[in-house]
Amino acid sequence: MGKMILCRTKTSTRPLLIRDVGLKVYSLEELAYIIYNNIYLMNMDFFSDELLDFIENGVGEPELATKLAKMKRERADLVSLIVALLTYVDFYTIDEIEKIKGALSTLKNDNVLLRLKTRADACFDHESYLSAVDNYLKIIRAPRDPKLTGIFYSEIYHNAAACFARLMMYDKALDYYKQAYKIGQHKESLDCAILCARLYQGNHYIERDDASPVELKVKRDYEACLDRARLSQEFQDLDEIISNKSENIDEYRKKLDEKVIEFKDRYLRMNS
Amino acid sequence: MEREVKGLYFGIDIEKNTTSISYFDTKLGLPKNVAENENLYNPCPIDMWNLDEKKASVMSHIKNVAKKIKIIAQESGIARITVTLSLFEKEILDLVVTSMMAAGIKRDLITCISHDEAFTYYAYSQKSNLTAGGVMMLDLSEDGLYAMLMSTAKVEKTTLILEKMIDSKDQDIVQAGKREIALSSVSDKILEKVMPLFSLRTVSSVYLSGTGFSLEDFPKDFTKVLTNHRRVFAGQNIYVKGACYAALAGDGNQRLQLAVKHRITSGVEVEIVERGSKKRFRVLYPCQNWYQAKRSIDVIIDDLRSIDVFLIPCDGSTQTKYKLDISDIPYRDGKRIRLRINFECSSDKVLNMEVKDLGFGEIVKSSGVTVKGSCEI
Repeated sequence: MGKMILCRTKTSTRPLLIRDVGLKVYSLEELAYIIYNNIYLMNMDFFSDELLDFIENGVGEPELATKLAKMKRERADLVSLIVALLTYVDFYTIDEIEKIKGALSTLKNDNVLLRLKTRADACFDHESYLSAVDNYLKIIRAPRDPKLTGIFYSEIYHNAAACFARLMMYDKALDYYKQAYKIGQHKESLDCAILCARLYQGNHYIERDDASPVELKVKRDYEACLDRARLSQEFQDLDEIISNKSENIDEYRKKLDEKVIEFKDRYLRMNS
Repeated sequence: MEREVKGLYFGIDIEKNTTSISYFDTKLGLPKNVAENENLYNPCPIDMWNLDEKKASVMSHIKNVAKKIKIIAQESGIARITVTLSLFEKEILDLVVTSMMAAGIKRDLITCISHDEAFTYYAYSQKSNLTAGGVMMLDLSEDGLYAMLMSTAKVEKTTLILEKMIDSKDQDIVQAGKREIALSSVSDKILEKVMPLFSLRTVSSVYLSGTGFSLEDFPKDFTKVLTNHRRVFAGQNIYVKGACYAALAGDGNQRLQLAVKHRITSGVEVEIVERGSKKRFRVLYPCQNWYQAKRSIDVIIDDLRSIDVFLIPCDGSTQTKYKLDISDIPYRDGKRIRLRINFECSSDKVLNMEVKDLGFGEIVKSSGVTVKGSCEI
C-alpha cells in the first residue's frame, strides 16, 4: 500500500558530491538512498568533515551532525554511524534497515582488502571508473596479504586495467593487463592487452604479416565489434542526426549539442 | 505579564474611495487614528483597481500610504501592518501587497483581512459585556446595506465566532446610503431587512457605520428599536481600528477563532507515515483568512497514485475526503519521487492544490509533470 513521507528538512543549495557514485546529493533523503543502495561503498572516510558540514549547514540538521561527530570522536564503528544516520532520516523504516543488516555485518568483519575490492567493484558497476581504479590501486599498493591468492591479485590488475581502458587510457590499461596475465595466466587478460596495444596506437597501428593466432583472433573480434557498433542504436541515432543536417541545420545543431552534452556527462561521470 | 511591544502595530482601511490609517497607541491601550484630514483619497474607486491602466496610480497611492506609515514608525519600527479592504479580491490584494513591498515593507509584516474580520476584531476587543450576546454591525453606504451578526459558539476547547449576514442593494436603501434621501424614509425598510438577524439571538451591541448613518437626523423609532436592551455605537473608523486590533492579535494563539466570511472554516490535513506509523499532518489550520491560507510541503511518495486530502470542519461536523489523482506522475520504485505540494485558497470556499514532481536530486531527474486539483473547502 502506498505511503507519503513528509520531508522535514530542507534541501541544500550546496550539494554534497559522493565521489564513489559520482552523484551530488541535495537532501538527507537522497543521502540515505545512496548509503542504503551502496552499502559496500561505505567506509569511515565517508563520514568526513565535508559530510558533517553538509548535514549541519547544508540541510540544517545540526543535531544529527553533532551526534555523528560525537560518535566519530568516541571511535564508534562504521555500522553504528550508518545506522544512526539512516534511523535519523525518516526515509527507510526499521524493517528496511533490518534487511541490509547482512551487508552491514560484512563491513565489520571482512578483510580490508576484500572490502576494498567489493567497493571498487561496486564503483565499476556504477561506471565510476576513476573511483574504482583508485580502490583497485589501493589494494595493489597495500602490503601483500598472504591469505589472498594470486587469482585475487590477477583479478585486481585485470579490473584496474579495464577501468583505464574505459577511461581511454590505453597505455596504462596495457601495463595492467600485462601484469594481470603475468600473475594469473588468463587468456582474457592477454586478449585485452593485445587489444589495448592496438587501441593505444589508434590510426597509426601497423598490421603485421606474422601476427600470432592470438593476435589475429583479437583483430577479428575487434573488427566484428566495430561492425556491431554500426548497428547499435546509439550509432543509428547519430547517423540519423547527421543525415538530417541538410534539411534543418538548426535542428541538427541542437541535436548534436544534446549528444555532445550527453557524452560529456557520461565521461565526467566515468571520471568521478 | 505585559506584552513586550517591538515596533508599532498599524491598521489600514481601504474603503471604496478613501484610505485611512491607524496605529496602536501603547500608552492609551487603544488604536489611534492618523488625523482624519490626512485620509487619503483613492486614485479611483477600489472596484477599478484591477484594471491595467489604473494599476500604476494605485501602486503609487499605496506606496504613499506606506511612506506615511514609515514616517510614523521612524523611531519605533513596524511590528505588523494589517490591511482591511472593502473589496476582498485576490488581484487587488496582490497589488496592495506588491506595492507595499515595493515601498520597502517586508512581506511577513503585512496581513490582509476583510471588513467582516476587521469588525470582528474590533467588536471582540471591547468589554466582555458588549459581546456577551451577539454583536451586530450595520453598514449603510452607497453600496447598500450590509448587516453582520457575530456570535460565539463553543466547540470542544475552542470558542468560534460565527457570522450571519444580509446584503441589500435595495434602491431606496442605496439612495439613503448616498444621503440622497433621508434615513427616516428607509428606516422601516432597514428594520424589515435586519429583524431576521435580531430574531436569531440576543444582541448585546450594535455598531453603525457608513455614510448613510448620520446621528444628526437619526429617526427616533429607528433608535428605539436599535437601543432596545442593547448598546449602540456609531463611528466611521471601526474597520481601520479593527485592522489595528487584528495587527496586534497577530496570527497565533488567539482566544477566539474567527469562522466568519473570508475565513476558511475547515482545516486541511494529509495522511503521512512517520517512522513507520500513519499520522495526520495538518497543512492548513481552520479559521484563517483565505488569502493568507497557503502552504507548501515536500514529500517522498512510495507507490502512491493518489493523495487523500482531509477537510476537517471547525464546527466539529463530519470530515470529508478529497482524492487528488497523481497518476500522471511517472512511477518510480525505491521512493525516488520527491513532490512539492502547494496548497492555496482562491476564496473562502475553494482550495487549490498543485503537485510538482521534483525528481530525486541527481539520482532521478524530474519528469516536469505538474498535477493540479481543487475542491470545495
